[in-house]
Amino acid sequence: MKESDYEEAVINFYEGLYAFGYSLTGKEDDASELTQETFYRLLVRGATVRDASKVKSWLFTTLYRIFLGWQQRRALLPHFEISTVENELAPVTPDQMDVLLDNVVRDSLLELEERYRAPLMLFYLNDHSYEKIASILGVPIGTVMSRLSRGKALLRQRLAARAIGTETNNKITHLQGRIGSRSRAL
Amino acid sequence: MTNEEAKLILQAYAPNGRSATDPNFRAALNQARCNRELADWFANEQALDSRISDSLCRSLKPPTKLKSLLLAQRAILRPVAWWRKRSHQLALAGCVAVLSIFGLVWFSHPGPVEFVKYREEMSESAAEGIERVSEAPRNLFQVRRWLAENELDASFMLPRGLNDGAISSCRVVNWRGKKVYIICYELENHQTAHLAVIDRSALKDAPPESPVFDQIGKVAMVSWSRSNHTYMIASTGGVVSDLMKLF
Repeated sequence: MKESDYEEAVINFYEGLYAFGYSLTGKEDDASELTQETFYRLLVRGATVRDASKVKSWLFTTLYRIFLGWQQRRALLPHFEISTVENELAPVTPDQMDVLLDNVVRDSLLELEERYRAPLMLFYLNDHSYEKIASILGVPIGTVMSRLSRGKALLRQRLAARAIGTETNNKITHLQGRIGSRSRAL
Repeated sequence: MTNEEAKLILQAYAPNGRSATDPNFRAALNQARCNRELADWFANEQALDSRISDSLCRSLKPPTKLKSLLLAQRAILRPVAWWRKRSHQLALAGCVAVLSIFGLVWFSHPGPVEFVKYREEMSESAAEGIERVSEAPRNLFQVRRWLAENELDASFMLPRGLNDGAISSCRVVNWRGKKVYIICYELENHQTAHLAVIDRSALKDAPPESPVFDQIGKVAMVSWSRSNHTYMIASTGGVVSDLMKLF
């Protein structure tokens, strides 16, 4: 692979790969290592990627395969069950989203099972069609569609729970502030 | 198509409008245009997806060092791959041989003792004291980047002819606590030239700014100093006129 092609690939795709790696592992170090290992393989095996337009898909597919290899060897990932309480909540609304911090959204995604988390992250990275997602994850298109649908529903239920909690906390803080100022006035 | 089927399809519609040209969404989008309930659902879906996407992209920024690490990865030494390459083995053997010639030739050459000592001892330490070897740099840009990544001074200035020359190897040897860079160039007519760069302050009687050319047996040589560095080039089987073209 040419020097300039490698540099271009790093500049264009490393942020997306890192984000995808983070969504899979939930750890900054692991995400960085996955990204580095992916680009290392591009350096070593880049000659096999003859079509430059396929570099992006190749990188994401490679990162995912490395992750699956890790998972098989170490059984790294904790398994989170979606609680029955959250299943009964109404999905989050756009207004509720505005009160959520970015890291709360990220952590809610990380709590989902990997089979939902991976397609959702690729979808939200805005760079992949559902056909590409199917190719990267090695599953049929219909499976991607159903996992996106189910994953979105699960994520939004979790976000709704966080948003209600945040709103309640904000109200409590607000009330505490008002009580405090009245006490000082008295 | 029912509304539920249309929703399943439209849930895969990218929030940034990227899917607009995808024909697989056309039927579901047309249905959303004609159906108020579906249109409202889709608008809400897009608003939510857009917010979640923005939030995730903001919160999943890579560490600041990652990009430079990835770019530097090109130059990181991969020992197994490197020493198994026959071409590099030959280049390294050539470097060692010519470094030995440096010592022998300059030891017999009249001149300041200190300068001769430098060449003699450098050639000895070159045989045993290699600190680092870069992984097959192809040009001076890669050499400088490799030196910089190894926290070595890469600010030396070379004549025009060496800036664009093809390089087959580069390594760093230690001479009395000073780093000496040995860069092997591939010249025209299958000739090689070996450039040695050292901190000028390491020598009491460093060569002058103007290049000094010499032909000793089959070895064409030139040495000079500029700014903080002293340079030597030796080309086995070469002639002085070839070295002059480099300046």
